[in-house]
Amino acid sequence: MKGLRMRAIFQIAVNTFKETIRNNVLYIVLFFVVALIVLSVFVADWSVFARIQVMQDFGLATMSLAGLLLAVFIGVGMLGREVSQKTLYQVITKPISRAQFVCGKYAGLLTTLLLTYAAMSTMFLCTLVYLGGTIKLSLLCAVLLIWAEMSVVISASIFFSTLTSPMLASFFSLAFYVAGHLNDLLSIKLVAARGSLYPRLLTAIYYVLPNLEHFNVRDNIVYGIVLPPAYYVLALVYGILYSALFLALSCVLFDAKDL
Amino acid sequence: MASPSIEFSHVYKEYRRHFWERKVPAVVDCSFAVERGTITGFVGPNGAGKTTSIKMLLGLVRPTSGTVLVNGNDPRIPRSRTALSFLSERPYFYDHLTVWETLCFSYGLTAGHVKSGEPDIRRVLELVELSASLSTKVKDLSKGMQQRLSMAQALLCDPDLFVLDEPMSGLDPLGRRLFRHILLTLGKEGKTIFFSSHILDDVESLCSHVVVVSAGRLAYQGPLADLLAEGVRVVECEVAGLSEADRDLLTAKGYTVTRNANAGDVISIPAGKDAVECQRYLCEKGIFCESVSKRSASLEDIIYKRQ
Repeated sequence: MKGLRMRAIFQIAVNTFKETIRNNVLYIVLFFVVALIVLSVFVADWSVFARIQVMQDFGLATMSLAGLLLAVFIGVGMLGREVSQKTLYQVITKPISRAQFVCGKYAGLLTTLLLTYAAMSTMFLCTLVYLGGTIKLSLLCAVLLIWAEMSVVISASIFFSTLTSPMLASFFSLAFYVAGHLNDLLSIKLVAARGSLYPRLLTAIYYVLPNLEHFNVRDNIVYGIVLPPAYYVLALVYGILYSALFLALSCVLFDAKDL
Repeated sequence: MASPSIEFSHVYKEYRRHFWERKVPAVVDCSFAVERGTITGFVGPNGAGKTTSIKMLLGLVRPTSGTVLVNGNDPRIPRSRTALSFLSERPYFYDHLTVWETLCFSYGLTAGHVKSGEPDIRRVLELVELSASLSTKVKDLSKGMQQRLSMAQALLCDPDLFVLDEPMSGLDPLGRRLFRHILLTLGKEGKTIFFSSHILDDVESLCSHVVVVSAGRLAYQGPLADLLAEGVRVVECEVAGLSEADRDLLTAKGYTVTRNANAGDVISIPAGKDAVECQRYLCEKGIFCESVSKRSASLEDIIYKRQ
């Protein structure tokens, strides 16, 4: 029975993967990434910083942005469209639970993102080598962390999709990304506002929202600051836990929904 | 005795279209059962609660109160849908898939694997006459072809219970004929078919039982023949050799006797009048009854009268 359940998730994931790789948005974003990475070669020439440093910074930022666009637009559209176009009737009228459907969708999107990151990283690393840089393990770990960050954003997108319309869900997902990166600032504000009623609210927001800055190691890569392997492991675990939380909430909400 | 395939017990469902609006009832205290091995039509006007009821038995919508059981299980449990197939009024497909991929996907969801499904997929494609369109993308199929694909999907894995929501809509006459043939064959195989339709001719020609709903409430449930019997207006017997005295006597008993074109007579027995008495009289007189026919109200009229 457990095997059957896993196979159903696998079937949905494969279908989602097929759907996303046949989606034009993916190729538009990939084209945009390639263009930006090529552009970064020229930007690096104009910069006062070392060419490789600028290239690395620009490349990682581009990948992060591309991942965000894919996670939000494909991720949100995926579930929202299934509900509005009722294509999910084809799946959930079979002996499939809604939780399996949500998990399958998530797995499919994550696979697409993984392959997209593999393609983007290959392009990025080739350009880097062409410019005379070297491929370090920390650089690959940085890409892995961006992928982990996007897996959290996708799970949040799915969560918002179960709550509201695709348009609002896109907006909330983008806001979630921005807020997640500004979460560090909240802790600073928290220290400044200590002693008033205000800190309670800030503390709640600080702990509820994930701190997406944990996945951002761009500065360390650019300035050659070596992070311990445990940092990467912990950041990955942090990402997995947040993704699992959002997925669990999505499953509960989606299960209660009249379709 | 086996439990019914579908069981609605005092089901009530209300909706709120927007959060600021009041809830409106879609289904009100509806109780009916669909016995195994029957072809049951589900009829009623637009907004009668048919689609909501179908959604409840598929587990897509939760009843506000009451119980819905499918094969003895709560429809929210995936297990309840193991032997169930659904065909919707409008085909909902993934546009990016081909006909073959769509059926493989569907088979995989029910059976858990695709590899062994090839013979079954080829069988259903042949049944709905879509074998030539294997590699056509679903978005390139006409509506009628998509409906055939829906039927193929419903036939996969040989389910026991078919829930069909307006299965004939969007089909050309040949397609309707094909679907009718498929449904009758399934009926003969002992499958349970529950289908909603606005085309009452289809209901009359296919169903053994019927569930009629109106304004969310159950208006009738039972054998179609019983419902049609309600609409019998008159039974007409064509006879030859009636004497003038016979005509007078029959007229006096409340029957109407008229001459027909073949110099015979037609005795009209109104609904509610004892036909046996008339028959006995004719037998005693040695008068041969050449034909007996019923003049009935259409199913449409009967349903309209019940609302």
